[in-house]
Amino acid sequence: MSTSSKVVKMRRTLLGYLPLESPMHKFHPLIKTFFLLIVSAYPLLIDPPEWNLIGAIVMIIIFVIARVPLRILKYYTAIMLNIFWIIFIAYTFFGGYMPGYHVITKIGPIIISWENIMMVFVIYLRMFFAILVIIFFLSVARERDVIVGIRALKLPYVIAYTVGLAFRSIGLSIIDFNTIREAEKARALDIKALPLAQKIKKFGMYIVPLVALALRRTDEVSNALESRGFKFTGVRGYKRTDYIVSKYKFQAKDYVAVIVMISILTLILYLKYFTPYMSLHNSILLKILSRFFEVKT
Amino acid sequence: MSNKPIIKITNLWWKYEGRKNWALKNINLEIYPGEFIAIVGPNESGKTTLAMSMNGLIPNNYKGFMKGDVIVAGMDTKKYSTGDISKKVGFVFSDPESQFLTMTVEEEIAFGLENLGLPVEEIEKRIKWAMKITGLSEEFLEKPPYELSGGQKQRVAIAAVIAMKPEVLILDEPTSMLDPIGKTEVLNVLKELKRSYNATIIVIEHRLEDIAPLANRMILIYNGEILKDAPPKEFFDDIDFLLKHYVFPPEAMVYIDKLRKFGIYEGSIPLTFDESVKAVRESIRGITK
Repeated sequence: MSTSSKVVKMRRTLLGYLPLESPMHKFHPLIKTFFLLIVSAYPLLIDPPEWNLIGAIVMIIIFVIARVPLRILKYYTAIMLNIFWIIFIAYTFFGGYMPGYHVITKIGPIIISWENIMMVFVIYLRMFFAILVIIFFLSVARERDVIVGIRALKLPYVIAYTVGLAFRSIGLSIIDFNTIREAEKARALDIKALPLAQKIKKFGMYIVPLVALALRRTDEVSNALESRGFKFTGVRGYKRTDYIVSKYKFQAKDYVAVIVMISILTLILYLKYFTPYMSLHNSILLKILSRFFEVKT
Repeated sequence: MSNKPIIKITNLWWKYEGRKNWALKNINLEIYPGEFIAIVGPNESGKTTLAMSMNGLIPNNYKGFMKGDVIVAGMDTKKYSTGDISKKVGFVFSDPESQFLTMTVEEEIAFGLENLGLPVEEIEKRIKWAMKITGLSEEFLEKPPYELSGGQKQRVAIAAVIAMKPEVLILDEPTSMLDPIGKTEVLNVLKELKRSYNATIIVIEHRLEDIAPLANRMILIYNGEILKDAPPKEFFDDIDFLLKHYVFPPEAMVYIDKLRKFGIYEGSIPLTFDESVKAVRESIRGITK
Protein backbone atom coordinates (compact mmCIF):
# COMPACT_ATOMS: atom_id res chain seq x y z
CA MET A 1 0.00 0.00 0.00
CA SER A 2 1.42 3.35 -0.90
CA THR A 3 0.42 6.68 0.48
CA SER A 4 1.46 10.03 -0.77
CA SER A 5 1.33 12.97 1.55
CA LYS A 6 2.52 16.48 0.92
CA VAL A 7 4.03 18.23 3.93
CA VAL A 8 2.52 21.70 4.22
CA LYS A 9 4.77 24.10 6.08
CA MET A 10 2.77 26.29 8.44
CA ARG A 11 3.38 29.50 10.33
CA ARG A 12 1.80 30.11 13.69
CA THR A 13 -0.78 32.89 13.91
CA LEU A 14 -2.81 34.34 16.75
CA LEU A 15 -5.54 31.74 16.26
CA GLY A 16 -3.76 28.73 14.82
CA TYR A 17 -1.53 27.97 11.87
CA LEU A 18 -1.50 29.36 8.33
CA PRO A 19 0.27 27.62 5.42
CA LEU A 20 3.47 29.36 4.32
CA GLU A 21 2.12 29.46 0.78
CA SER A 22 -0.79 31.69 1.85
CA PRO A 23 -0.84 34.95 -0.14
CA MET A 24 -1.46 36.80 3.13
CA HIS A 25 2.23 36.37 4.06
CA LYS A 26 3.15 38.44 1.01
CA PHE A 27 1.40 41.54 2.34
CA HIS A 28 2.96 44.10 4.66
CA PRO A 29 1.89 43.43 8.29
CA LEU A 30 0.21 46.83 8.37
CA ILE A 31 -2.27 45.62 5.73
CA LYS A 32 -3.59 43.03 8.19
CA THR A 33 -4.13 45.71 10.82
CA PHE A 34 -5.77 47.96 8.21
CA PHE A 35 -7.98 45.07 7.17
CA LEU A 36 -9.22 44.69 10.73
CA LEU A 37 -9.76 48.43 11.21
CA ILE A 38 -11.35 49.22 7.84
CA VAL A 39 -13.26 46.06 6.89
CA SER A 40 -14.72 45.60 10.38
CA ALA A 41 -16.28 49.06 9.94
CA TYR A 42 -18.28 47.88 6.90
CA PRO A 43 -20.95 45.91 8.83
CA LEU A 44 -21.29 48.75 11.31
CA LEU A 45 -22.31 51.06 8.46
CA ILE A 46 -24.49 48.59 6.56
CA ASP A 47 -28.14 48.18 7.64
CA PRO A 48 -29.82 45.85 5.08
CA PRO A 49 -29.14 42.29 6.29
CA GLU A 50 -28.70 40.85 2.79
CA TRP A 51 -25.75 43.18 2.20
CA ASN A 52 -24.12 41.91 5.37
CA LEU A 53 -24.90 38.36 4.27
CA ILE A 54 -23.13 39.05 0.96
CA GLY A 55 -20.22 40.52 2.98
CA ALA A 56 -20.07 37.32 5.05
CA ILE A 57 -20.06 35.15 1.90
CA VAL A 58 -17.27 37.30 0.41
CA MET A 59 -15.35 36.84 3.67
CA ILE A 60 -15.63 33.04 3.37
CA ILE A 61 -14.30 33.30 -0.21
CA ILE A 62 -11.40 35.39 1.16
CA PHE A 63 -10.79 32.66 3.77
CA VAL A 64 -10.43 30.14 0.92
CA ILE A 65 -8.18 32.40 -1.19
CA ALA A 66 -5.98 33.11 1.85
CA ARG A 67 -5.73 29.33 2.49
CA VAL A 68 -7.10 29.72 6.00
CA PRO A 69 -8.31 26.26 7.05
CA LEU A 70 -12.13 26.52 7.08
CA ARG A 71 -12.31 24.13 10.03
CA ILE A 72 -11.39 27.17 12.13
CA LEU A 73 -14.96 28.41 11.50
CA LYS A 74 -16.33 25.13 12.84
CA TYR A 75 -14.90 25.97 16.27
CA TYR A 76 -16.92 29.20 16.31
CA THR A 77 -20.21 27.77 15.04
CA ALA A 78 -21.48 27.19 18.56
CA ILE A 79 -20.57 30.73 19.59
CA MET A 80 -22.30 32.17 16.50
CA LEU A 81 -25.43 30.12 17.16
CA ASN A 82 -25.46 31.19 20.79
CA ILE A 83 -25.15 34.81 19.76
CA PHE A 84 -28.10 34.34 17.40
CA TRP A 85 -30.29 32.87 20.13
CA ILE A 86 -29.35 35.58 22.61
CA ILE A 87 -30.19 38.31 20.07
CA PHE A 88 -33.34 36.49 19.00
CA ILE A 89 -34.68 36.10 22.54
CA ALA A 90 -33.58 39.56 23.66
CA TYR A 91 -35.16 41.41 20.73
CA THR A 92 -38.19 39.24 19.97
CA PHE A 93 -39.46 38.88 23.51
CA PHE A 94 -37.84 41.74 25.38
CA GLY A 95 -37.30 44.27 22.60
CA GLY A 96 -39.97 46.62 23.97
CA TYR A 97 -42.92 48.20 22.25
CA MET A 98 -43.39 51.63 20.70
CA PRO A 99 -46.62 53.02 19.26
CA GLY A 100 -46.65 52.38 15.53
CA TYR A 101 -44.98 48.97 15.77
CA HIS A 102 -46.63 46.21 13.72
CA VAL A 103 -47.86 43.65 16.24
CA ILE A 104 -47.61 40.07 15.05
CA THR A 105 -48.82 38.35 18.21
CA LYS A 106 -49.08 38.70 21.99
CA ILE A 107 -47.96 36.17 24.62
CA GLY A 108 -49.38 37.46 27.88
CA PRO A 109 -47.79 40.86 28.50
CA ILE A 110 -45.12 40.22 25.83
CA ILE A 111 -45.77 41.86 22.48
CA ILE A 112 -44.00 40.35 19.49
CA SER A 113 -43.62 42.96 16.81
CA TRP A 114 -42.30 42.95 13.26
CA GLU A 115 -39.87 45.77 14.08
CA ASN A 116 -38.17 43.70 16.79
CA ILE A 117 -37.94 40.59 14.59
CA MET A 118 -36.49 42.77 11.84
CA MET A 119 -33.81 44.00 14.28
CA VAL A 120 -32.83 40.37 15.03
CA PHE A 121 -31.84 39.88 11.40
CA VAL A 122 -30.28 43.32 11.02
CA ILE A 123 -28.13 43.00 14.14
CA TYR A 124 -27.27 39.33 13.83
CA LEU A 125 -26.09 39.48 10.21
CA ARG A 126 -24.12 42.62 11.05
CA MET A 127 -22.40 40.72 13.88
CA PHE A 128 -21.96 37.61 11.74
CA PHE A 129 -20.03 39.60 9.11
CA ALA A 130 -17.98 41.40 11.80
CA ILE A 131 -17.11 38.15 13.60
CA LEU A 132 -15.89 36.63 10.32
CA VAL A 133 -13.66 39.66 9.78
CA ILE A 134 -12.20 39.27 13.26
CA ILE A 135 -11.69 35.50 12.90
CA PHE A 136 -9.98 36.11 9.56
CA PHE A 137 -7.65 38.70 11.08
CA LEU A 138 -6.75 36.43 14.00
CA SER A 139 -6.19 33.52 11.58
CA VAL A 140 -3.74 35.37 9.35
CA ALA A 141 -1.98 37.76 11.73
CA ARG A 142 0.83 37.04 14.13
CA GLU A 143 1.69 39.04 17.24
CA ARG A 144 4.62 40.39 15.28
CA ASP A 145 2.28 41.68 12.54
CA VAL A 146 0.26 43.63 15.09
CA ILE A 147 3.38 45.13 16.64
CA VAL A 148 4.96 45.93 13.27
CA GLY A 149 1.63 47.44 12.20
CA ILE A 150 1.55 49.73 15.23
CA ARG A 151 5.21 50.64 14.82
CA ALA A 152 4.79 51.27 11.08
CA LEU A 153 2.03 53.73 11.93
CA LYS A 154 4.71 55.62 13.87
CA LEU A 155 2.79 55.38 17.11
CA PRO A 156 5.03 55.76 20.19
CA TYR A 157 7.09 52.63 20.76
CA VAL A 158 5.73 52.33 24.27
CA ILE A 159 2.26 51.61 22.80
CA ALA A 160 3.61 48.92 20.46
CA TYR A 161 5.62 47.44 23.27
CA THR A 162 2.71 47.45 25.72
CA VAL A 163 0.61 45.55 23.15
CA GLY A 164 3.50 43.11 22.63
CA LEU A 165 3.89 42.64 26.35
CA ALA A 166 0.15 42.01 26.65
CA PHE A 167 0.45 39.15 24.13
CA ARG A 168 3.47 37.86 26.02
CA SER A 169 1.59 38.06 29.35
CA ILE A 170 -1.28 35.99 27.96
CA GLY A 171 1.22 33.28 26.94
CA LEU A 172 2.94 33.36 30.33
CA SER A 173 -0.38 33.28 32.21
CA ILE A 174 -1.48 30.22 30.24
CA ILE A 175 1.81 28.46 31.07
CA ASP A 176 1.46 29.41 34.75
CA PHE A 177 -2.20 28.36 34.83
CA ASN A 178 -1.31 24.96 33.37
CA THR A 179 1.51 24.52 35.90
CA ILE A 180 -0.84 25.34 38.80
CA ARG A 181 -3.53 23.03 37.41
CA GLU A 182 -1.07 20.16 37.06
CA ALA A 183 0.28 20.77 40.56
CA GLU A 184 -3.24 20.79 42.04
CA LYS A 185 -4.25 17.71 40.04
CA ALA A 186 -1.18 15.95 41.47
CA ARG A 187 -2.61 16.73 44.91
CA ALA A 188 -6.06 15.35 44.04
CA LEU A 189 -7.82 18.60 43.13
CA ASP A 190 -9.30 18.31 39.67
CA ILE A 191 -12.14 20.77 39.20
CA LYS A 192 -13.04 19.23 35.84
CA ALA A 193 -14.88 16.46 37.65
CA LEU A 194 -16.74 18.82 40.01
CA PRO A 195 -20.24 20.29 39.57
CA LEU A 196 -20.42 23.93 38.39
CA ALA A 197 -21.06 25.44 41.85
CA GLN A 198 -18.03 23.59 43.26
CA LYS A 199 -15.99 24.58 40.22
CA ILE A 200 -16.69 28.26 40.88
CA LYS A 201 -15.99 27.82 44.59
CA LYS A 202 -12.68 26.05 44.01
CA PHE A 203 -11.58 28.44 41.27
CA GLY A 204 -9.97 30.63 43.92
CA MET A 205 -7.47 27.82 44.43
CA TYR A 206 -6.19 28.62 40.93
CA ILE A 207 -6.55 32.38 41.00
CA VAL A 208 -4.54 33.10 44.16
CA PRO A 209 -1.32 31.35 43.01
CA LEU A 210 -1.86 32.70 39.49
CA VAL A 211 -1.93 36.29 40.77
CA ALA A 212 1.11 35.62 42.97
CA LEU A 213 3.01 34.23 39.97
CA ALA A 214 1.89 37.14 37.79
CA LEU A 215 3.31 39.60 40.33
CA ARG A 216 6.62 37.72 40.35
CA ARG A 217 6.66 37.72 36.55
CA THR A 218 6.14 41.49 36.55
CA ASP A 219 9.28 41.84 38.60
CA GLU A 220 11.26 39.51 36.35
CA VAL A 221 10.10 41.14 33.12
CA SER A 222 10.86 44.59 34.51
CA ASN A 223 14.41 43.45 35.43
CA ALA A 224 14.90 41.87 31.99
CA LEU A 225 13.68 45.08 30.29
CA GLU A 226 16.06 47.32 32.23
CA SER A 227 18.94 44.89 31.78
CA ARG A 228 18.59 45.20 28.02
CA GLY A 229 18.61 48.96 27.93
CA PHE A 230 14.88 49.62 27.64
CA LYS A 231 13.60 52.92 28.97
CA PHE A 232 9.92 53.75 29.07
CA THR A 233 10.72 57.45 29.37
CA GLY A 234 12.42 57.57 25.97
CA VAL A 235 15.18 59.78 27.46
CA ARG A 236 18.24 58.20 25.94
CA GLY A 237 19.65 60.98 23.76
CA TYR A 238 19.33 59.00 20.53
CA LYS A 239 16.60 57.41 18.46
CA ARG A 240 15.62 53.81 19.06
CA THR A 241 16.16 51.77 15.89
CA ASP A 242 13.13 50.16 14.27
CA TYR A 243 14.91 47.06 13.00
CA ILE A 244 11.84 44.83 12.76
CA VAL A 245 9.83 47.41 10.81
CA SER A 246 12.79 47.97 8.46
CA LYS A 247 12.48 44.32 7.38
CA TYR A 248 9.18 45.06 5.66
CA LYS A 249 8.68 47.31 2.65
CA PHE A 250 5.37 48.67 1.44
CA GLN A 251 4.92 47.34 -2.11
CA ALA A 252 2.53 48.01 -4.99
CA LYS A 253 0.14 45.24 -3.91
CA ASP A 254 -0.04 46.77 -0.42
CA TYR A 255 -1.05 50.14 -1.87
CA VAL A 256 -3.64 48.39 -4.07
CA ALA A 257 -5.07 46.58 -1.02
CA VAL A 258 -5.38 49.83 0.94
CA ILE A 259 -6.96 51.64 -2.05
CA VAL A 260 -9.50 48.80 -2.52
CA MET A 261 -10.43 48.75 1.18
CA ILE A 262 -10.79 52.53 1.41
CA SER A 263 -12.71 52.68 -1.89
CA ILE A 264 -15.25 50.13 -0.62
CA LEU A 265 -15.57 52.08 2.64
CA THR A 266 -16.13 55.31 0.70
CA LEU A 267 -18.72 53.61 -1.51
CA ILE A 268 -20.59 52.27 1.53
CA LEU A 269 -20.57 55.74 3.12
CA TYR A 270 -21.85 57.27 -0.12
CA LEU A 271 -24.61 54.67 -0.54
CA LYS A 272 -25.62 55.02 3.11
CA TYR A 273 -25.78 58.80 3.32
CA PHE A 274 -26.48 59.94 -0.23
CA THR A 275 -28.68 57.21 -1.76
CA PRO A 276 -31.72 55.18 -0.63
CA TYR A 277 -30.09 51.80 -1.46
CA MET A 278 -28.81 51.18 2.06
CA SER A 279 -32.08 51.96 3.86
CA LEU A 280 -34.00 49.20 5.58
CA HIS A 281 -37.11 50.12 3.54
CA ASN A 282 -35.33 48.92 0.41
CA SER A 283 -34.08 45.68 1.95
CA ILE A 284 -35.16 42.74 -0.22
CA LEU A 285 -34.67 40.23 2.60
CA LEU A 286 -36.82 42.25 4.98
CA LYS A 287 -39.53 42.57 2.31
CA ILE A 288 -39.63 38.77 1.91
CA LEU A 289 -39.74 38.32 5.68
CA SER A 290 -42.52 40.89 6.11
CA ARG A 291 -44.59 38.95 3.58
CA PHE A 292 -43.89 35.78 5.55
CA PHE A 293 -45.17 37.43 8.74
CA GLU A 294 -47.99 39.05 6.78
CA VAL A 295 -47.00 42.54 7.84
CA LYS A 296 -47.95 45.54 5.74
CA THR A 297 -45.12 48.05 6.00
CA MET B 1 44.72 41.27 31.02
CA SER B 2 44.62 44.95 31.93
CA ASN B 3 45.87 46.19 35.31
CA LYS B 4 42.79 48.34 35.78
CA PRO B 5 39.78 46.45 37.14
CA ILE B 6 36.59 46.55 35.07
CA ILE B 7 34.57 45.90 38.23
CA LYS B 8 35.65 47.34 41.56
CA ILE B 9 33.53 46.66 44.61
CA THR B 10 34.57 48.40 47.80
CA ASN B 11 33.10 47.69 51.23
CA LEU B 12 29.71 46.74 49.79
CA TRP B 13 26.89 46.05 52.21
CA TRP B 14 23.32 45.45 51.04
CA LYS B 15 20.14 44.75 52.96
CA TYR B 16 16.74 44.20 51.26
CA GLU B 17 13.91 46.35 52.59
CA GLY B 18 12.02 44.62 55.39
CA ARG B 19 14.78 42.10 56.07
CA LYS B 20 16.77 41.91 59.29
CA ASN B 21 19.99 40.45 57.91
CA TRP B 22 22.43 41.88 55.45
CA ALA B 23 22.37 39.98 52.15
CA LEU B 24 25.91 41.14 51.38
CA LYS B 25 28.50 41.95 54.02
CA ASN B 26 31.60 44.01 53.40
CA ILE B 27 32.29 42.72 49.89
CA ASN B 28 35.60 43.80 48.40
CA LEU B 29 36.25 42.51 44.93
CA GLU B 30 38.21 43.47 41.86
CA ILE B 31 37.55 41.80 38.51
CA TYR B 32 39.84 42.46 35.56
CA PRO B 33 38.99 42.62 31.83
CA GLY B 34 38.97 39.22 30.14
CA GLU B 35 38.69 37.20 33.36
CA PHE B 36 36.30 34.24 33.59
CA ILE B 37 34.94 34.22 37.14
CA ALA B 38 32.85 31.46 38.71
CA ILE B 39 30.80 32.40 41.76
CA VAL B 40 29.70 29.47 43.91
CA GLY B 41 27.94 29.01 47.21
CA PRO B 42 24.81 27.48 48.71
CA ASN B 43 21.33 28.88 48.09
CA GLU B 44 20.49 32.18 49.80
CA SER B 45 24.19 32.95 50.25
CA GLY B 46 24.05 36.20 48.26
CA LYS B 47 25.34 35.10 44.83
CA THR B 48 22.46 36.56 42.82
CA THR B 49 22.41 39.70 44.97
CA LEU B 50 26.10 40.21 44.24
CA ALA B 51 25.52 39.63 40.53
CA MET B 52 22.62 42.10 40.49
CA SER B 53 24.75 44.69 42.26
CA MET B 54 27.20 44.43 39.36
CA ASN B 55 24.66 45.37 36.66
CA GLY B 56 22.89 48.07 38.64
CA LEU B 57 19.63 46.20 39.33
CA ILE B 58 20.79 46.71 42.90
CA PRO B 59 20.36 49.48 44.10
CA ASN B 60 18.29 50.89 41.18
CA ASN B 61 15.46 48.33 40.91
CA TYR B 62 15.29 46.90 44.41
CA LYS B 63 14.41 48.62 47.64
CA GLY B 64 16.98 48.28 50.34
CA PHE B 65 19.90 49.83 52.14
CA MET B 66 23.33 50.03 50.53
CA LYS B 67 26.75 50.93 51.87
CA GLY B 68 29.97 51.00 49.86
CA ASP B 69 30.64 51.43 46.14
CA VAL B 70 30.30 49.38 42.98
CA ILE B 71 32.10 50.80 39.96
CA VAL B 72 31.49 48.90 36.73
CA ALA B 73 33.30 49.92 33.54
CA GLY B 74 33.83 53.34 35.12
CA MET B 75 30.17 53.75 36.10
CA ASP B 76 29.05 54.08 39.71
CA THR B 77 25.92 51.91 40.00
CA LYS B 78 24.42 54.45 42.40
CA LYS B 79 24.67 57.21 39.80
CA TYR B 80 23.79 55.35 36.60
CA SER B 81 20.54 53.56 35.75
CA THR B 82 20.43 49.85 34.92
CA GLY B 83 19.55 50.84 31.35
CA ASP B 84 22.78 52.85 31.05
CA ILE B 85 24.87 50.14 32.67
CA SER B 86 23.33 47.55 30.32
CA LYS B 87 25.45 49.02 27.50
CA LYS B 88 28.51 47.66 29.33
CA VAL B 89 27.11 44.78 31.37
CA GLY B 90 24.94 41.98 30.00
CA PHE B 91 22.85 39.87 32.35
CA VAL B 92 21.40 36.42 31.66
CA PHE B 93 18.82 35.28 34.20
CA SER B 94 18.35 31.73 35.42
CA ASP B 95 14.78 31.31 34.14
CA PRO B 96 14.91 31.51 30.34
CA GLU B 97 11.13 31.78 30.15
CA SER B 98 10.76 34.96 32.17
CA GLN B 99 13.44 36.98 30.40
CA PHE B 100 11.85 36.86 26.95
CA LEU B 101 10.29 40.14 26.02
CA THR B 102 9.10 39.60 22.47
CA MET B 103 7.35 37.02 20.33
CA THR B 104 10.06 35.81 17.93
CA VAL B 105 13.74 34.90 18.35
CA GLU B 106 14.74 37.59 15.85
CA GLU B 107 12.87 40.31 17.74
CA GLU B 108 14.29 39.00 21.01
CA ILE B 109 17.90 39.33 19.83
CA ALA B 110 17.19 42.63 18.10
CA PHE B 111 15.43 44.13 21.15
CA GLY B 112 18.57 45.26 23.04
CA LEU B 113 20.27 46.34 19.81
CA GLU B 114 17.29 48.53 18.90
CA ASN B 115 17.50 50.08 22.36
CA LEU B 116 21.17 50.88 21.69
CA GLY B 117 20.07 52.73 18.53
CA LEU B 118 22.42 50.77 16.26
CA PRO B 119 22.00 51.01 12.46
CA VAL B 120 19.85 48.29 10.84
CA GLU B 121 22.83 46.75 8.98
CA GLU B 122 24.80 46.49 12.22
CA ILE B 123 21.83 44.87 13.99
CA GLU B 124 21.58 42.32 11.18
CA LYS B 125 25.30 41.52 11.45
CA ARG B 126 25.16 41.18 15.22
CA ILE B 127 22.12 38.90 15.12
CA LYS B 128 23.97 36.56 12.75
CA TRP B 129 27.09 36.67 14.91
CA ALA B 130 25.20 36.00 18.17
CA MET B 131 23.26 33.13 16.55
CA LYS B 132 26.50 31.59 15.31
CA ILE B 133 28.33 31.84 18.63
CA THR B 134 25.39 30.29 20.49
CA GLY B 135 24.94 27.55 17.89
CA LEU B 136 21.45 28.61 16.77
CA SER B 137 20.54 28.17 13.12
CA GLU B 138 18.66 30.81 11.12
CA GLU B 139 15.50 28.72 11.04
CA PHE B 140 14.97 29.75 14.69
CA LEU B 141 14.61 33.45 13.80
CA GLU B 142 10.90 33.28 13.02
CA LYS B 143 10.03 31.00 15.93
CA PRO B 144 8.52 32.14 19.22
CA PRO B 145 11.27 31.71 21.86
CA TYR B 146 8.89 30.15 24.37
CA GLU B 147 8.20 27.25 21.98
CA LEU B 148 11.85 26.12 22.02
CA SER B 149 13.50 23.51 24.25
CA GLY B 150 15.05 24.61 27.57
CA GLY B 151 18.62 24.65 26.25
CA GLN B 152 17.59 26.48 23.08
CA LYS B 153 15.68 29.04 25.14
CA GLN B 154 18.70 29.77 27.32
CA ARG B 155 20.92 29.99 24.22
CA VAL B 156 18.50 32.55 22.75
CA ALA B 157 18.68 34.47 26.03
CA ILE B 158 22.49 34.44 25.88
CA ALA B 159 22.45 35.43 22.19
CA ALA B 160 20.12 38.36 23.01
CA VAL B 161 22.58 39.62 25.61
CA ILE B 162 25.91 39.03 23.83
CA ALA B 163 24.55 40.65 20.65
CA MET B 164 24.80 43.90 22.63
CA LYS B 165 28.54 43.11 22.95
CA PRO B 166 28.81 43.98 26.62
CA GLU B 167 32.24 44.29 28.20
CA VAL B 168 31.01 42.21 31.12
CA LEU B 169 28.67 39.24 30.77
CA ILE B 170 26.98 37.95 33.92
CA LEU B 171 25.13 34.63 33.84
CA ASP B 172 23.06 33.83 36.91
CA GLU B 173 22.74 30.04 37.21
CA PRO B 174 22.18 29.66 33.46
CA THR B 175 21.78 25.88 33.66
CA SER B 176 19.77 25.56 36.87
CA MET B 177 16.40 25.11 35.14
CA LEU B 178 17.60 22.91 32.29
CA ASP B 179 17.66 19.18 31.61
CA PRO B 180 21.06 17.45 31.07
CA ILE B 181 20.96 18.09 27.29
CA GLY B 182 20.10 21.74 27.84
CA LYS B 183 22.87 22.07 30.45
CA THR B 184 25.42 20.62 28.02
CA GLU B 185 24.24 22.99 25.25
CA VAL B 186 24.66 26.02 27.50
CA LEU B 187 28.04 24.87 28.83
CA ASN B 188 29.24 24.46 25.24
CA VAL B 189 28.19 28.07 24.62
CA LEU B 190 30.15 29.15 27.70
CA LYS B 191 33.22 27.31 26.34
CA GLU B 192 32.77 29.03 22.99
CA LEU B 193 32.34 32.41 24.68
CA LYS B 194 35.54 31.89 26.65
CA ARG B 195 37.35 30.89 23.46
CA SER B 196 36.13 33.54 21.07
CA TYR B 197 34.42 36.36 22.98
CA ASN B 198 36.86 38.82 24.41
CA ALA B 199 34.88 39.92 27.46
CA THR B 200 34.80 39.49 31.20
CA ILE B 201 32.50 36.58 32.02
CA ILE B 202 31.00 36.03 35.45
CA VAL B 203 29.03 32.83 35.97
CA ILE B 204 27.05 31.76 39.00
CA GLU B 205 26.92 28.00 38.72
CA HIS B 206 26.42 24.89 40.81
CA ARG B 207 27.99 22.44 38.34
CA LEU B 208 31.55 22.81 39.58
CA GLU B 209 33.00 20.04 37.41
CA ASP B 210 31.98 21.95 34.28
CA ILE B 211 32.75 25.46 35.34
CA ALA B 212 36.08 24.93 37.16
CA PRO B 213 38.12 24.13 34.02
CA LEU B 214 36.83 27.32 32.38
CA ALA B 215 37.36 29.71 35.28
CA ASN B 216 40.37 31.90 35.95
CA ARG B 217 39.12 32.56 39.46
CA MET B 218 36.53 30.98 41.71
CA ILE B 219 34.73 32.88 44.43
CA LEU B 220 32.93 31.25 47.34
CA ILE B 221 30.14 33.29 48.89
CA TYR B 222 28.65 32.14 52.15
CA ASN B 223 26.17 34.02 54.28
CA GLY B 224 26.73 37.24 52.31
CA GLU B 225 30.52 37.19 52.63
CA ILE B 226 33.32 36.25 50.27
CA LEU B 227 35.09 33.41 52.05
CA LYS B 228 37.43 32.36 49.28
CA ASP B 229 38.65 33.96 46.06
CA ALA B 230 41.32 31.97 44.26
CA PRO B 231 42.32 30.31 40.97
CA PRO B 232 40.57 26.90 40.60
CA LYS B 233 43.56 24.73 41.64
CA GLU B 234 43.99 26.74 44.82
CA PHE B 235 40.21 27.00 45.36
CA PHE B 236 39.81 23.22 45.51
CA ASP B 237 42.93 22.71 47.58
CA ASP B 238 40.98 22.57 50.83
CA ILE B 239 38.05 20.28 50.05
CA ASP B 240 36.98 20.07 53.70
CA PHE B 241 36.59 23.84 53.84
CA LEU B 242 34.31 23.76 50.78
CA LEU B 243 32.24 20.86 52.13
CA LYS B 244 31.87 22.69 55.46
CA HIS B 245 30.29 25.58 53.54
CA TYR B 246 27.92 23.38 51.49
CA VAL B 247 29.91 23.56 48.27
CA PHE B 248 30.15 20.05 46.90
CA PRO B 249 33.12 19.45 44.59
CA PRO B 250 32.93 16.65 42.01
CA GLU B 251 33.31 13.11 43.42
CA ALA B 252 36.61 12.68 41.56
CA MET B 253 38.09 15.65 43.43
CA VAL B 254 36.89 14.32 46.79
CA TYR B 255 38.38 10.93 45.92
CA ILE B 256 41.78 12.41 44.96
CA ASP B 257 41.69 14.51 48.12
CA LYS B 258 41.23 11.28 50.14
CA LEU B 259 44.23 9.74 48.32
CA ARG B 260 46.20 12.84 49.25
CA LYS B 261 45.19 12.54 52.89
CA PHE B 262 46.27 8.88 52.89
CA GLY B 263 49.61 10.04 51.52
CA ILE B 264 49.11 8.08 48.28
CA TYR B 265 48.94 11.18 46.04
CA GLU B 266 51.00 14.34 46.43
CA GLY B 267 49.99 16.59 43.53
CA SER B 268 47.35 19.30 43.26
CA ILE B 269 43.62 18.60 43.01
CA PRO B 270 42.71 17.80 39.37
CA LEU B 271 40.08 19.99 37.69
CA THR B 272 39.11 17.77 34.79
CA PHE B 273 38.27 14.09 34.33
CA ASP B 274 41.48 13.52 32.36
CA GLU B 275 43.56 15.13 35.10
CA SER B 276 41.81 12.87 37.65
CA VAL B 277 42.68 9.74 35.63
CA LYS B 278 46.27 10.93 35.45
CA ALA B 279 46.34 11.56 39.21
CA VAL B 280 44.99 8.06 39.95
CA ARG B 281 47.57 6.51 37.60
CA GLU B 282 50.36 8.40 39.40
CA SER B 283 49.04 7.18 42.76
CA ILE B 284 48.90 3.56 41.59
CA ARG B 285 52.42 3.85 40.20
CA GLY B 286 53.57 5.26 43.54
CA ILE B 287 52.03 2.32 45.44
CA THR B 288 53.41 -0.37 43.13
CA LYS B 289 56.97 1.03 43.09
